[in-house]
Amino acid sequence: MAMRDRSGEMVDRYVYAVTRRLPVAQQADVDRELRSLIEDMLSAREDQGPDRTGEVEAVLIELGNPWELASNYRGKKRYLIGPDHYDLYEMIVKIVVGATGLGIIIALMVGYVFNPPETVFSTIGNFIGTVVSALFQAFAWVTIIFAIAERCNERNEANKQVAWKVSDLPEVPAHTKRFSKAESIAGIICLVIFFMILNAAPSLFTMGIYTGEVWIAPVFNPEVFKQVLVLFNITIALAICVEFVKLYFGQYSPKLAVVMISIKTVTFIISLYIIGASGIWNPALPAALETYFHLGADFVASFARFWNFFPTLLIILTILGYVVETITTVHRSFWGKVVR
Amino acid sequence: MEDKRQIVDNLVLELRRGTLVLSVLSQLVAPQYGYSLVESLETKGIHIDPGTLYPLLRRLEKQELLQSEWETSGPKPRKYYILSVLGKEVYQELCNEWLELNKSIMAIL
Repeated sequence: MAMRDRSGEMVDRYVYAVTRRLPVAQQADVDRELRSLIEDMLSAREDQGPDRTGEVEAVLIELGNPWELASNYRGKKRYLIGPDHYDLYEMIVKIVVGATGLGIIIALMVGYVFNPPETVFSTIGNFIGTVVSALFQAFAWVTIIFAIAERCNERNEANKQVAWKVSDLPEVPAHTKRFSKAESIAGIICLVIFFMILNAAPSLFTMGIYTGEVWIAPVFNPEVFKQVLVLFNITIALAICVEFVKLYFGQYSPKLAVVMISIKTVTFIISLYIIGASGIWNPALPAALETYFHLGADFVASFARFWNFFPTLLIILTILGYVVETITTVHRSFWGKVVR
Repeated sequence: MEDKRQIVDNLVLELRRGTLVLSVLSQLVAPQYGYSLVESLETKGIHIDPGTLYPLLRRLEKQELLQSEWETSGPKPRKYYILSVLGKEVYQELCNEWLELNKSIMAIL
């Protein structure tokens, strides 16, 4: 008996490999067209015995890689993150993944120092697991955000195929109008590390002072701290957003000033609440110092006065910071010199 | 000098690619199916891979330069393409452009 003729199956596989990569609406038509083409190409070849396997294989190879053929049929190339934004994406992935890695490692280390683990091996396993999953999360979130931006952009591009004008090009900004890239990157790294430590090792901020036997006198009121943690996170997230916005646009502009000042105002209000109204400061701190450290009454009294005044001081500094920053932003956005 | 060969080959490929649409449109005054087009162009010295031609025909149809119809009465079902009215006009203009281009290029070579 002759060898089994596998040519039919080969054609099926080839056609399927092409059509499954195409929109459903095109699949049936392309399927039919390709089969008819393959038949034609076969008839054009001279010797055809009963077993066409060799000929079919040659024809399919001539037709070329099914992936390539499918992409020819599809026409336009598709991207998760297109070439327009890839450089920015790469930079931000590096920053965010790097900062997350550094932050989570520091946070875990700090956690272990203050809360020594019992078994070494399970701790190592946990450590690696936590770090890896944090890195994946960081990577995934950046990618998802960019992918969504890419989709939105695609739609915009389709809508506007208008000619651009030279007069639409932004003016070359003076150096005082440009955002420093390095500053933003350093800012993001610090914020991510702070975020990690705050969330992975909150005990660090509520633990107070160790007397050798017990933890006493935390600076923050642990209960309140737990409640306002989400507010802390929101302010950090907003601050990170501002840095990304700066990285993306690269220079001050009136429109950007409005966005930045709005975000900063929200952050400002949240900060005022946390410092002034949330009751986060532990009122028992001076008394605890007196009890556990046997400090002089005079010192404790003046410390208590300072401790009462401390939130007010912070509020004054926050307001000053906010005002200075807003004035700088407005000034640089609306009155910056332009390079000729 | 393998490199030089490759550079030349790539550039020639690019030159040819630009002329494909013109070649294809020129042959479709009468209806033809894909593979007959490959063969008729081949005999006239113009090589085009079926894997390039078939998607190209589809794209030209989408741009409404071509019209197509499945012919199922013969032994094999075949999709025939022919120039549309718009296609004929576009072809005419492309021809003029080509002649102009040819003249300019010949003048500088």
